[in-house]
Amino acid sequence: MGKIHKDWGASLILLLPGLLLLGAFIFLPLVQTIVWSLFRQEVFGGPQRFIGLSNFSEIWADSTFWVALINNIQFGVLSVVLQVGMGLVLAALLDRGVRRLKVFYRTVIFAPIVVSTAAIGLLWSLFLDPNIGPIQDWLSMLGLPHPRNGILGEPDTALYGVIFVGAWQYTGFMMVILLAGMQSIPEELYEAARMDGCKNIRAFFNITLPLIRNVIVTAILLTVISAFKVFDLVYVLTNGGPGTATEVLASYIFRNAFEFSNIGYANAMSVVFLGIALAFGFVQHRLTRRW
Amino acid sequence: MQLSKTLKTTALATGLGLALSVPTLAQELKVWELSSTSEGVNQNWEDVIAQFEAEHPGVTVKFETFDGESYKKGLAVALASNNGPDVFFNWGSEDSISLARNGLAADVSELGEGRWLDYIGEEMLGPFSMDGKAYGVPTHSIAVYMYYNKDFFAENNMDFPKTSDEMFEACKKVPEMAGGSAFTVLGNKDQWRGIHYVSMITSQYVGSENMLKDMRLLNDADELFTDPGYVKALEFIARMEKEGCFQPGVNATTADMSDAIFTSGGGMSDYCGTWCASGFDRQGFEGKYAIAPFPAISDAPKENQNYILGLTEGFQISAKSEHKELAADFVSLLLTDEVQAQRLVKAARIPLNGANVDQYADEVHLTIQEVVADLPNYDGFAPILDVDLNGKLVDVYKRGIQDVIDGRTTPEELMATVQEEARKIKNAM
Amino acid sequence: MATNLFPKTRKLAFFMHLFLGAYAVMILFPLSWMFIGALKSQREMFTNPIGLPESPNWSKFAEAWDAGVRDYFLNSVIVSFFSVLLIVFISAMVAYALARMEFPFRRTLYLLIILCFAIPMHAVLVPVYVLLSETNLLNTHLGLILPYAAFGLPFSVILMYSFFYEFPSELEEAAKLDGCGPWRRLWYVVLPLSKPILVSVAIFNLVSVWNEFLLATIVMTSREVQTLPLGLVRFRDQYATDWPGMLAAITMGSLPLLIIFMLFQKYFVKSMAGMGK
Repeated sequence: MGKIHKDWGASLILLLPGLLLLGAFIFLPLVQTIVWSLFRQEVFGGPQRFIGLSNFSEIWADSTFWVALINNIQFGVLSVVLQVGMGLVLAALLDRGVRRLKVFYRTVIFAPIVVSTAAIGLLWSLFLDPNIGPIQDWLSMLGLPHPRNGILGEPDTALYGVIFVGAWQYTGFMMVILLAGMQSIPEELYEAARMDGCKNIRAFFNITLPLIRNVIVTAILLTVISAFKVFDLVYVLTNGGPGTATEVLASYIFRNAFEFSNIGYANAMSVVFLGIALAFGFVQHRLTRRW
Repeated sequence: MQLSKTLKTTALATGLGLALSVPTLAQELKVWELSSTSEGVNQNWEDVIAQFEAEHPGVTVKFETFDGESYKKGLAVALASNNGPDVFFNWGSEDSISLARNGLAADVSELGEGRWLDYIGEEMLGPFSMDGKAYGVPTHSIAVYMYYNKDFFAENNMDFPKTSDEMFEACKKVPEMAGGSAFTVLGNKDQWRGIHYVSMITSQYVGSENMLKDMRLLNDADELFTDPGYVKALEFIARMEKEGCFQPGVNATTADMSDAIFTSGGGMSDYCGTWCASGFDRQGFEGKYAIAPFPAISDAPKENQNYILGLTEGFQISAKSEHKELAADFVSLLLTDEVQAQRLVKAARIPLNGANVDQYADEVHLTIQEVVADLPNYDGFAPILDVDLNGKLVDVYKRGIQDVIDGRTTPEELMATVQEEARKIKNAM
Repeated sequence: MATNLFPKTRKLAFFMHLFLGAYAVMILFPLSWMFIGALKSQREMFTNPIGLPESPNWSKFAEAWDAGVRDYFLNSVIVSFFSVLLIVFISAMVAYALARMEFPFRRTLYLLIILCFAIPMHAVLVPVYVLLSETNLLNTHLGLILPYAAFGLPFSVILMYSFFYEFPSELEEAAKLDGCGPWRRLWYVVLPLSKPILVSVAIFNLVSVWNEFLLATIVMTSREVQTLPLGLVRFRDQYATDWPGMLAAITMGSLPLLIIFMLFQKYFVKSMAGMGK
């Protein structure tokens, strides 16, 4: 390894296309978002008026913003429980549990990842539809309480419905990440532990879990970060409704910018959003010390 | 095969010849319109464009269409950039006024003489006007009616209710007579049908004039949406839900699905726009429905009752357009008696003046004929809350209506939120 | 021979298979409901939401294909192909420069790229939209390809950097002695030996670009240029009550990547598992 060339010109040529792309689509917009958050603007291309930090004080007083933020947090916490929790169980069963059909299970459980979230949202919105979806029928067949407007139509259940569909899609992803971590644990460790009389479930808690700690932390962070970025699912399944029951930050920013013509305000919320994203990014960087 | 190739070559040669003869005059007029799945509408546009191009040699019309949601989103951006349309469709409402306010729509007050003012009165430009200047021209109108199941009401010797008292009675009677089918349907999952209902009811309680003042935020910040009629209107729709006027699951049913429920007999009426008739026909319901105005609300002021929910739609010209005169000619063409009649026949667009209509009576959809005959009877349009109001307010309002129907929010609570939001927006202006 | 986590009784194995099997059914059932629903009549969707259709009706697939799915599919192929191509080559170039070349602000640049990785597209949507509008890129394939490439770069660079960093430099030294410049060393020596990481980066980005929805929603407003995820949602808005047609469209929209996944599932799993490293 090592730096074998000190050709600045060649470096520049290698870097230039990448730098242009990052500059134009990430850095410049980053600065613009921050600057424009201090302005009021009604239509794209329309006049901008400087209003200082008013957008931010408006955010403070905007109950929908807080509803959205709390929904994101709920989304994050429940997704960690469902996706990472279930992912761990599934990975453990595939790693040292069953012997047959491993590839079949892994393939099936992982498959939803390659289907677009929009398509999955469309599928589940029909699947959960009170008029044509089977879920409603099953619930009533089992004598379970079933909301008249469907799971996605009732504000008390809609968010959980969306979180469930998210978990349906992403648990396989978490399982694969965790499984890769488990499989990199050297077999000798288990052998040695068995000599000491530590096996089965105890081996899982004493060996597997501690050794894949970093992978679990990464899995949790990935889940939380994507919970804060969730948009497609909400847009397709509920469009934030009923009422504002499933509003999340990304959908609320999107609607402020492109539906309410509240562009400066959308930028101000983006700045808050950015702060959250960078904080998580920092934590991830620190905890995993990957780079 | 051989023949068609020859034909093509000839056509190409002719086309080249024509292009060569007027090369310096070549101009392009970009027109934006909503996309439509109706063949009649699309055919009509082809005809109109062909006529325009024939009348203006050297001009080609570039006609581009977008679906509703994309249209609203993309329009302002395109207008601000350099590749926007010259002429574009818009609703005669806050949508067109906000473009005017932000300098994106051209002032067309001076362009009307010898053009559209030959066909329509200046007062019709109202919905497209701001501070006494016109920023757009209406070309047709839409209105919302109660479509009802003709056979059902005839078989049971019932008239379609004319007042709210009769309506609430029908809400009780219809399910008994129709094996559980509801008096009417409401598909409010996508939220706009509910706000249409509330718009109509509110206009009866509050009055169109007063409503518009609130909607355009012209009243004092502290007085916006404080008329008690707003609350009464919400109470009215909550009562309709409570007394079983609608099919079950209002907020879980999409607008399209509610129409399907109406045509399949799951509900005996449907509050739907003039554009709905062709959809009902496609679902095999042709000739089986009739239209009636929304019932008059018994405890609302009499003078507010003669309005119908609707608005005019039309075209605006981009402030950046380099072909404003041409664009004005195009808009004007849409208003000539001949084109208005064609648009009525082919595209079911309701003309602004009824001149010339009788001539085509037998070609026009029956329902549309009824509408054309009926519209002049009203004092005016009741404003539609989701087109003539700030986007954020619309959102609060229509989501709140879902909550009111489900009983999670009281009408008072929702209006308090709307007032608060309106005050904030007004103060920020 | 791996030791098992649980005692190897038949009973336990049975329960583990039962659990995994039930989970697999939970995944497979909605997917097969989608496929079978596409073969039903509109009426059957209402009257018989779970069962099989009486006489399968295959025509919905052709109808949906002609009603727009074909165009959406082509657009997705174009956008995904060029985005992934750009990402793979540009990130290889950047990662190579970072790992092998010496230039001022190298470390700063690396930190900036890590920073970029943390910035979600959602947070800079408005300026990106304005930029695309000012450069007349709205409603063009390029208008999606360029931002997709930009947002795909940071993570890809990070992955490739760690690969190149550990790449033995002897071969390159030899090539250098033969007079090869950095460009030729990258092209003829490093890249051919980096296939696993290139495939990983390509697959990872293909999955995210093929399925991207948010930016596509605001950039592609004309129907003719819309990509699959967006097209499917618009398809619903337009044919809302044609449920079998809707399901046929979703099925066709999901199949291409599912088939590629089935064929190359080992690579997919490896590529995605790389996220957790």
